[in-house]
Amino acid sequence: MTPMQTTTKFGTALAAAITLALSTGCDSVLDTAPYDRISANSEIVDAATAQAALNGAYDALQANGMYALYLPVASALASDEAEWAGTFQYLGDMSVNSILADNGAVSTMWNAHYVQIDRDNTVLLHVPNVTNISDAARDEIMGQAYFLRALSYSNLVKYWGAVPMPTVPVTKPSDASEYTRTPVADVYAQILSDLDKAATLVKNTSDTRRATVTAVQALRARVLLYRASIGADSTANYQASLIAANAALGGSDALTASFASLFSPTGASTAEDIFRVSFTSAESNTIGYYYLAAGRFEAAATNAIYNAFEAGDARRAVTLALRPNSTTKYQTMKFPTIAGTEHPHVIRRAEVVLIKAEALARLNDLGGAVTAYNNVRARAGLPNHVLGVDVTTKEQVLAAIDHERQVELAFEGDRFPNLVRRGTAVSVLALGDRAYQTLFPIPVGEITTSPKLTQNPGY
Amino acid sequence: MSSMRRSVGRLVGAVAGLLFSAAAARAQTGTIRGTVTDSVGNIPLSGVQLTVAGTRLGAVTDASGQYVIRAVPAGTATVNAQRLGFAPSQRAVTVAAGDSVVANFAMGAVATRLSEVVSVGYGTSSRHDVSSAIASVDNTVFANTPVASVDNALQGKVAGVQVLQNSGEPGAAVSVRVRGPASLNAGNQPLYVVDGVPIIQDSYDRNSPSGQDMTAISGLNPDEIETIDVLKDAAATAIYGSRGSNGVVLITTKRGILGNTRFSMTAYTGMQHVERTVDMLNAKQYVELINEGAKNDGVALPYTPGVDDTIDTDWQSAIFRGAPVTNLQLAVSGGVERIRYYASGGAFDQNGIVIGSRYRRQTGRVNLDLNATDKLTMRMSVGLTREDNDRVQGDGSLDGVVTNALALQPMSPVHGTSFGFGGTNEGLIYSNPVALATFNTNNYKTLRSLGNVEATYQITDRLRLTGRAAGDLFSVDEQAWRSNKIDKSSAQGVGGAGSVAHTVAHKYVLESFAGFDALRSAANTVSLTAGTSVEYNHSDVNSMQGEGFPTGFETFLNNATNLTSWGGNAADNNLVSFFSRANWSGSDRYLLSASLRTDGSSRFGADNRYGIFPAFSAGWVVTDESFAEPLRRLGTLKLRGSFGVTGNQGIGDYSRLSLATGTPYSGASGVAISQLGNPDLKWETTKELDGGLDFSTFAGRVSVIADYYRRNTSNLLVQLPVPATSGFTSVWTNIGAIRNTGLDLSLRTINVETPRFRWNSDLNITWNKNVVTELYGGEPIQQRVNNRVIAIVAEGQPVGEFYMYKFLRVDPQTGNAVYATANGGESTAPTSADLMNVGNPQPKYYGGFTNTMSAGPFDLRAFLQFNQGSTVFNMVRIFSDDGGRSGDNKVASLLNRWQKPGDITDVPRMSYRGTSGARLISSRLLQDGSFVRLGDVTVGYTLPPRLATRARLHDARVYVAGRNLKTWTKYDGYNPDANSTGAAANVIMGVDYYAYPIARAFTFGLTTSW
Repeated sequence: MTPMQTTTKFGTALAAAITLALSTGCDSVLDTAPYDRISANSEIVDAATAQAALNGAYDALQANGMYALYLPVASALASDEAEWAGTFQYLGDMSVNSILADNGAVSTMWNAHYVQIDRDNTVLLHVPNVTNISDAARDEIMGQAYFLRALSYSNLVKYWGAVPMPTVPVTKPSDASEYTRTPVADVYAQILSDLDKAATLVKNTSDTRRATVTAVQALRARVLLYRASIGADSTANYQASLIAANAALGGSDALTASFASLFSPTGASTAEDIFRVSFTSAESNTIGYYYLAAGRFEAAATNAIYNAFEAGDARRAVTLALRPNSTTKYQTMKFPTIAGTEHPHVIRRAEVVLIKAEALARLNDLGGAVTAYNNVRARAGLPNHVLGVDVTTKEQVLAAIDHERQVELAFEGDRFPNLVRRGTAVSVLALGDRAYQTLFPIPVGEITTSPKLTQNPGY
Repeated sequence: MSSMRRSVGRLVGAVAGLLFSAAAARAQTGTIRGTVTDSVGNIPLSGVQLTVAGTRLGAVTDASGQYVIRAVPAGTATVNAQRLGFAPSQRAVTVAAGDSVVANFAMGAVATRLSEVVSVGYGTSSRHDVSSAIASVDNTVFANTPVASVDNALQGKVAGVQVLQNSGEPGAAVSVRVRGPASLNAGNQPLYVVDGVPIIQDSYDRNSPSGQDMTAISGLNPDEIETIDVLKDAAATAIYGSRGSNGVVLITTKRGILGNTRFSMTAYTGMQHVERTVDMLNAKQYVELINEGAKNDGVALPYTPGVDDTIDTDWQSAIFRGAPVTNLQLAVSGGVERIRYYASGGAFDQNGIVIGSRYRRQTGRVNLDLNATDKLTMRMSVGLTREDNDRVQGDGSLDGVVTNALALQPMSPVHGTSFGFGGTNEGLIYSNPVALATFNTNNYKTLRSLGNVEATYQITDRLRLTGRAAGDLFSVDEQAWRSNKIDKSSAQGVGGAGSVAHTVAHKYVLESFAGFDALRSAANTVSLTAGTSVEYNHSDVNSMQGEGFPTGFETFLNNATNLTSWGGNAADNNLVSFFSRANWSGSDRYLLSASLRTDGSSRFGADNRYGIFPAFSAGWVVTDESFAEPLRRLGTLKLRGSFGVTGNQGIGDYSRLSLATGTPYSGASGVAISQLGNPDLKWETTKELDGGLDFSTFAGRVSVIADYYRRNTSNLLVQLPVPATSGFTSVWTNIGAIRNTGLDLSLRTINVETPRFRWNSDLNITWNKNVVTELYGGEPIQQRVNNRVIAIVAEGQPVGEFYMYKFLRVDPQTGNAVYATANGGESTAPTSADLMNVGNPQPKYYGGFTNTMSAGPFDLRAFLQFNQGSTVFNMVRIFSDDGGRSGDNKVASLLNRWQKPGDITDVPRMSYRGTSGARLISSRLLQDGSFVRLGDVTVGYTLPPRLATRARLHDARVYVAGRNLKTWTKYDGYNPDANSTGAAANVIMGVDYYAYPIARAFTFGLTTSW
């Protein structure tokens, strides 16, 4: 073969290669699809995907803005349970009740709740249209989604007051720019409506990491207690709360699980459980990491909470331990691992008993109230209160219930919203001219993107 | 059309003619030889390229300035001599068959750059014929700089190109901005093209918190690079269409040249130390100030002077060290008639100035040029790289080494009871940085092969066809270990955390293009280029983390008790392109160029995937006009003007789609929408107008290249914040516009040119003004770092304007900070409505000034870099200047705090509970980031040719060099051009958040060839 022939052949081959490259269908080259995700349109089509979408809604509870971190920790910092010992200044601001509108923890909480609600709304919108699913399965899924939406709104209304209240997913995100703040009363109406539906749709199972009838009733009892603090018709709310609490307690107010067993590092179930959020080493929470001296230690137990326990209260040793190298300062041990495998309680029997006690007291059944909360004291190894001896007036009974709440539910996310509900936050936390800090600010970016939202006063 | 037919005819003719030519052409030849000297000093010039016009024949002068060209056809030949920095010279020589003629040249030094050959994208051109804005840098500018990445070595060297050293960590990525940031979220890094082919340039490291990212650029060995051309205006970059809007960096690797086999070696070794440390409080001062803060707030004193301050640790000196750096590069190159070759191998080893960090790179390259036949030339370029980078973990995070060295209280000891280190028992409130550097590892290894085969077939004298296939295969293996032995570290409570990540990214490019010299008369030349390109990109990332390691079985994942996270992603991104360009040069003084590129990108939806990117430019060599005859003695002047449209597609591969991801709960699988898509996404478009001039005067001893530009970028690809009440926080949208206007200027002068002494200067300076001209509904976009709003993108403001409370003064009565309120008042407790624009992170101007002198065998090169008018947010100060609220150590400037009524100071009183207002992120923490830096000083000695020859060397030079010798700045952190948010972050610049400081290095080096 002469060089000439070689050259010509090469030229031909080159031309052929180029033609080939050109003729490769451009569009087929450009039609790429992801390997690692699926199209959102194929999300809910049958029973299995409907269940998966509901699991996605539960997954949202595992966000830092909800039960993986801030629902317990923000309450602890903003109240007298914890002081800031870490490095995130926005948590420092929270601990001295000097939150600014760009607070990172506040926006994380806000965002996470609306992510959760969007997933509920997606389930509630699409699952009724799924055809190849049994009615029982559909009801269960819908009921659980209603419960989750009620739970998220109940948290939002506690921390922010009036909030935007989407009940269907947006078709495009800019639709949300038109949202306004729904009045608190209307938010409660929606929550109760969702809980009513949930109560008829969900079944009672032993799986306390998902909604059950008991969980629905327990949440209902709590919501009504909060609603009573803002509405004129408080008696009706207390009555309804009492009914729901009794329904959730199932005929017995006794607390059989030991207090220490409630906070096992791996989230082992107990007779106390009503609704808890599941966490594993792979889907872990960061509560212990923020609470423990060996972790970030953003939220260190105060001496105030240590001193709040009565002498002989068995809960103190479970709740608090000395910090390393200190004889006077404490950390909370309720979330004992940095790995974050505890299952935090969203609501548990002791709280429902205390709700019942408060409802009874509010309805002037002081004896019944003391009997109820004595269940909580008894488990803590404390002597029963006797009406007329330890407590006499309604105010004293309510104060005793507040005290039991403080020590029973410490670091679990109850203290700050409860102080606000009871109207004692300003005095207990010595807020002075910062009373506005009892409501969190609407995140500053949210006001920019939703111009119709008004900021809470003071921010 | 007729020229086309003629070409086909010529093709047939050529095919027939070639049958004869091979045998016939050989007999009647002669030899040309001679010496080339410089016209002033009569000193022999090495490295001069001599070519015989109209042939492929040529040679390069050796150290004694001599050359030989053999097999020159008998007759009259025109010999061209070219060398960078000298005016080209030409001589006609008559060669007789079998004879040898002498042609000597004396070349005059010039500062003009008209004779340079510049890469223009799918071809080269001489500077004379270029009518767009292109800056060229030869390897003397960036070689032998003791940094891993070539982009880092370009800092301050090129007009219009701003380089920010995000971090001083060896191998770390830098931020490069060509003519200002033009995009908000779609990336502002230029496109990197090596030997004609775009390369993988992204960051693939998974273990990389805040700013310390590695990119694929560090794998390019500067020693292998011959020249770098930076395409700046749209007329130059539009040939790269959809990726042209941030500028294009064309890298040309070294290739063999005709002549004897030449071996060369470059080597240097040196020591590095931290350029400067930050003044922090000592133990006594710390105790005094924190106690004062407690007293001010009525809190019990936390420390006892004389007891709690007996230990005094300087944590910075505990983590910094003297760190050696070495580099060795060996190369062989040469060429015979049909084949030219270049092969090299290099090893670079840089220890970091922070204990525990070290970067190593081994590279190999083979470049072959083959004239397979007279018509067919082939180029093969293969580069192999291995990087092995021991990184210090997590700067800017809780596990960061530098972070904790600045944060830890001085009263805590380095050594103690926690596995030999100070820990909680010794009262350390954070992790011990020395323990972190000792026990933790974060290793990053890459393997890369970058290959490129190109064939050009000369179909006719005027028409050539080039086909090119290129592949870039890049793999990253990461292995990180966070030990359980370190108190207060994130891994202590979980039994240690080990993670691995594997990434494979590959890119294949198939290109073909034709070049056609449509017109080649004496007065007019027209050349056309047209072609097509298909580019396939794929990446696969897998990562896993485990926790719970038994003692002694550390670091590797298989010993973990639990897998705590796993993840990965895989994506394709393809590009189909058609491009064309026409150049006309008339009477050697009128230049016109037009180009058009069409890109189709898989990143956009079916209706928007094609973008069209046209560009035009024109040049006019004024002084070649007859009317300008009288001016010609003053110098030469070329005016240029251009307009072009370029694009940016730097978004996620599937941003157009709404996608759902697995979201398991309690052991059951779940699914939820993770991304809202936008099928209407399209290119971000930059329209750029450029007017420039090339002027040289004083017989070529002064040369100016200046360009004014105006770049309007519209349809910005923005992650538009949406109300979180939608369930999402942002969605990709084409919204908004940015304008960059500026002037970049490069001035090169030959100040002194005598036989004994030469002195050249090179100044480049760039003024850029950046403004956001349009946003969605005029709505500003707030920017966060570490969950705090610190900057904003707002209409009428530069990108990334700092957005904070505005500090006015310290109240002399109370010692509290006083801030401005939105309504023009003052407050010690401002609200979110009082956040305002308080500073621009972008400089007013920046540049570099290089002076090169030589006297006999000695040479001196000094490089000054400058940057004026930028603002830096020293984010470390949110802890170290917070009045004493956090436990962190404080900066020494707190010694000037307010102490008693009547004190006039700008440092608020100490406050244990944070009630002084010092806790607010405010303009108080901003500093002037202007600086002038003595970047490089090199003193060299070149062996005189006589001695070199005696030592059987072609040439030899030894030098000592210093880098980052001195920085003059008011900034009191480590480095005023730190950019902790990283190369990929576009919006937030000028934030120094525990960035790894830069090194001052002294090196000794040798370059020689034989």
